[in-house]
Amino acid sequence: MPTAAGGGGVADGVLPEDPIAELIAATARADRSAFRTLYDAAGAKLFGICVRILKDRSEAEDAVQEVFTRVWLNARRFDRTRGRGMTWLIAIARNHAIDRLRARPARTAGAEEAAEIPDRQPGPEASAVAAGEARRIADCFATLDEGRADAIRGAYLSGLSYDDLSRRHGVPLNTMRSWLRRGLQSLKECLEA
Amino acid sequence: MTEATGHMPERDALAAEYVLGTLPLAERLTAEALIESDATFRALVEDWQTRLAPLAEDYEDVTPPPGLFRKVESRLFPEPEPQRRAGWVWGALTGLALALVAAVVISLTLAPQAPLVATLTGEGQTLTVAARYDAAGKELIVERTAGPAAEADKDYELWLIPAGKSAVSIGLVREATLAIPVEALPPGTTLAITLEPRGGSPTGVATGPLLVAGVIGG
Repeated sequence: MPTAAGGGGVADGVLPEDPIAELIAATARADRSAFRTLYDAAGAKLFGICVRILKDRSEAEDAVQEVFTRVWLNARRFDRTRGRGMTWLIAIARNHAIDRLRARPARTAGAEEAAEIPDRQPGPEASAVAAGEARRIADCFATLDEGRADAIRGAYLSGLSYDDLSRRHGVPLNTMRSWLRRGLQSLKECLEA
Repeated sequence: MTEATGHMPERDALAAEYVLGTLPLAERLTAEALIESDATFRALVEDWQTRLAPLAEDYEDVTPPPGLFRKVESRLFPEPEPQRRAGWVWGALTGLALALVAAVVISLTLAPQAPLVATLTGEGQTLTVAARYDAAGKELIVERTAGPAAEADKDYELWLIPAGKSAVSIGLVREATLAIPVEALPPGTTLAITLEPRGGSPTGVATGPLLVAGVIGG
């Protein structure tokens, strides 16, 4: 079983391998068997993302089908010099799931349910190849105040909107937005320091 | 506690918020259009994806139901049509007239096998349209694979939007399948369907809501 989580592959102190990136490159060459291997390696991760964000298994099934359709159609746009394969896949899955979530009519389920789901599961420090990066981001999160760190984590993982967050924290939407933007800015400065 | 020392430029903030996912749909769509049209913005988005990627470690794997990949495959790689063999047999019977008939049969049955170039979907839409492009025949074939036909007094109008250019109407999708002569379909071209009054947009510019869209990969 390929370890697909987050980065995939093992570094061993040399150049980080990126088997997912290899599979995406092969998919771009219309290699259907590589596409299937890619699904086997990343399907559970991407389905997990869709389930977590959409909180609806059947919609998540539709979403993940669309995600893999886009992976096949857009594989040639993947540029491995710009990032890891799994990062690219995760972006496609999150973007599609969040677009679906935002397109839902008014307020069905969402913020309330999301608030019940703990966003603070084991931190990113447990990763394999991305251990260094993960430690850096964990360190940088530790420099943020806890509310802001939680808001960023909750938004990223569960797809909380500014609307959800402002209700959750009881502050006006624009206040929430500038507060969170300052958090993102601090994070960026810390990561680039 | 660290506090940001300066303001993020607006574009960088938008990229961060897009990746984080907090924006309302309209602003997400703006960001997605910028990703397609503006390489600098796209790079900002990629930087934020990389920066925030370690957070994705917290997503737990959920095993998808069996058969899901099969559905993806059947969407992307439809089985050859059974009539194809019939066309082949007729062709083998020779005779100019029969060969002509066979050519028609083959072209009709080959059309759905032109490679899939985009799936047009929209948020909250059951309508799904598969777009295939037969590069040799220079023909775009669109097929409504899910969702209802337009209501009696409306039409689905199909638009072709070359990267960085404005939309051109190329047809009304009334039947389940529609073939349209299209000279070229380079990667980055967007296909979109809007809901218009019966007969299509009266102005030549989309007036109704955008239902589904897809971008040609490549």
